[in-house]
Amino acid sequence: MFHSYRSLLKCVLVVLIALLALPGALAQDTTTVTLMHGWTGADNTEMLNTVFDRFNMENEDGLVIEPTALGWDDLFTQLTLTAAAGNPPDVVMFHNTEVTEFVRKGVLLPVDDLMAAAGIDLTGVPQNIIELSKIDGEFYCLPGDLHPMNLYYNVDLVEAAGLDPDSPPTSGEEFLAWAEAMTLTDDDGAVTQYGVDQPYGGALGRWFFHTLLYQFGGSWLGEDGLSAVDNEAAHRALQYLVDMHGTGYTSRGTGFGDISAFDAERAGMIMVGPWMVNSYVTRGMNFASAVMPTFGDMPATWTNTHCLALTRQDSDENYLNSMKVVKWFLENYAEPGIKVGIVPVLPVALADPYWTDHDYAKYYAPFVESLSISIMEPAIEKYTSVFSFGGQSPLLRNLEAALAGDKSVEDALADMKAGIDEILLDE
Amino acid sequence: MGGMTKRKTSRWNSVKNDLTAYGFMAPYLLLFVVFLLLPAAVGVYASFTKWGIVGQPKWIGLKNYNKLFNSELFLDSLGNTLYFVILAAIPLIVLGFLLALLVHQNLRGRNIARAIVFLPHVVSVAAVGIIFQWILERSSGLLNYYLGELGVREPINWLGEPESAMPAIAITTIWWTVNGNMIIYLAGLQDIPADLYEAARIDGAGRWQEVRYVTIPMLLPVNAFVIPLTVIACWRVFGQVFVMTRGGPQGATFTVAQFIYETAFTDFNMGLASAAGVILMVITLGFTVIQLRAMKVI
Repeated sequence: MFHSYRSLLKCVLVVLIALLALPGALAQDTTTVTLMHGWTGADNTEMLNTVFDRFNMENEDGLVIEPTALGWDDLFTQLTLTAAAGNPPDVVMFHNTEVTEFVRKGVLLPVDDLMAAAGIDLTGVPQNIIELSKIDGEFYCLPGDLHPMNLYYNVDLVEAAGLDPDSPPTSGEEFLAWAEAMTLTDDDGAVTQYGVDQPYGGALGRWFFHTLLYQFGGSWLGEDGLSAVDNEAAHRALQYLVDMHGTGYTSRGTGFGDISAFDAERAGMIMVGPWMVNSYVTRGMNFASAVMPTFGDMPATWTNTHCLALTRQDSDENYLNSMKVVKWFLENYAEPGIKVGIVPVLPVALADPYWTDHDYAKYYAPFVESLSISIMEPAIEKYTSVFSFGGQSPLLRNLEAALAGDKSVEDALADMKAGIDEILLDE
Repeated sequence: MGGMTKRKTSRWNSVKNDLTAYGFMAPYLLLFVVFLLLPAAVGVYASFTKWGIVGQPKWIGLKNYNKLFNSELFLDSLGNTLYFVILAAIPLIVLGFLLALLVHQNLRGRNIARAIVFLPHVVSVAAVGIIFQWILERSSGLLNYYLGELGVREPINWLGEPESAMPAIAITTIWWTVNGNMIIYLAGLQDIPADLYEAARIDGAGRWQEVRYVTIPMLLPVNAFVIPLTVIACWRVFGQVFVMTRGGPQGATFTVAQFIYETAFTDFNMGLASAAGVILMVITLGFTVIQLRAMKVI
């Protein structure tokens, strides 16, 4: 076929050049939008990739999303480092609570004009959520969802205890009555089943304390911008929590990966976010969910939100493309909402048949219902330091100490305030 | 004249040999300088600055060190780490040696036993942490289940109580890494000439005396390697703590390495984190020198 090595070489060279030129030719009509997110739990990354693939196929602007999935801690580090190196992702999906911190670092871009240019409509989104997305009156992120903490209960264990699964507890008294009824002991008095799977510390410990704090009329910060956890409301909230653990109905784990008492069907109830729906369904558990009971003076529950933000780039040529990606994602939030276990906030996503007609809709209904009582931790500049899950956190250290009986409620709250203020005042 | 030419040739040969040696070492030296020496030097420099990754470091002298020595959190983390070193390092060395003696015996199934003992070493720290979290979980963990079967009625909150959390992490670490020391000791044992034992037996030595007067002295070079390395590794404990407790409960397992990590990558205070890193380096270096001096290796 080839008359000489020279003709063979020529042929190979032509093929090589063609192969090298091909990606460039193909890429000519596409624009990449890089996106960094922290949804790495369970099958979330894979699921999100299918959503991104759908965008890549459907959009007619030649836009291609190039996603990077990182654990949350790594995401904050990588976002900071890539921004410092002048190469941050175009779009970042994280929590509203971290926005202020990254705005102050100069990483995020105000997007009011771009929202208008891309035609993003936030009509119908609760005003409190819209306000969370603004800093100094400007939008720095677009809210995608809320994921409030609510009550799950094991229907089989509820029925076995002679309780009515269709009338879940709505008050602290009813909750404790359920917890008592579902706490079982053996002949020697050892607990074989807990009423409620509630740890001392970790995320669930902190979020439940947050819930109680606001239910008793308290807040994390005072008007002076410093911690307000030494006030009467915080005192009542922590005392309530100490007393609840004192009943012996709670599992009292560490809060790090040990929500297994409910998973193992050895606890009747647990308070956690909507992201557990998929896990419990997959386990084949017969469970139901309900709005967080009111333990204090008013209804309230912990929540956080996921939002999408644009980062500052050397050139503004990709900003509008990035905003188009954000718009599409917000309007198509139903699928990630169902599969990740988060509640979309845009009316168009909540009205999507994928959301309304899904088998899991009944589990998410109480979470949608609780949006109006959902309260976020304050989105302060030092959020990740104050609200850290690490052992250095004065918040967790003192919460755990009070619940373990190693500190009085007064001392724990005084030390908690001192520790948080030290972080807030540190330059 | 002839002598001078010879000396010149000999010197040239020596230079040539040196150059060849440096040539072979160059790839490693290059990587060592770029990835170890240079970052370490930058770290030492950063420890005298205020630097939040973004922007330029600002020289602040000894302020970071002053802050650390007045920080209850940092001093706590030093104390916690020292406690872990005491809990973990001694068993890691002693058990490593005893396991090596055990699997060195000429017994049936010896190779299988070696493989089984070594297996945990290949498991990643995240997997080890999660497995032991499950085992040690208070309400439905495996350990409390069996303790319950044995009559322990009140479940122990292994990772949730400040008193038991660090010992639980130390036990996890020992199970996970003792086999590394075992392998090194085993290699050392296999290097001891058999005729030394034979001579000892002729002199009337029993099994224990063989270990005491032959094995242990002959393993001195191995000890000089294993002991400092184990102690250094214990001072740097991080992964298993981060996965199992995140430094809790009540900060009881919060170690220096986690202090450095959180300070650098949660608070983005690179200067303070670098200063803590330098202090950790000085401590481990000090321990190593003391140990090697005590063993009369240096």
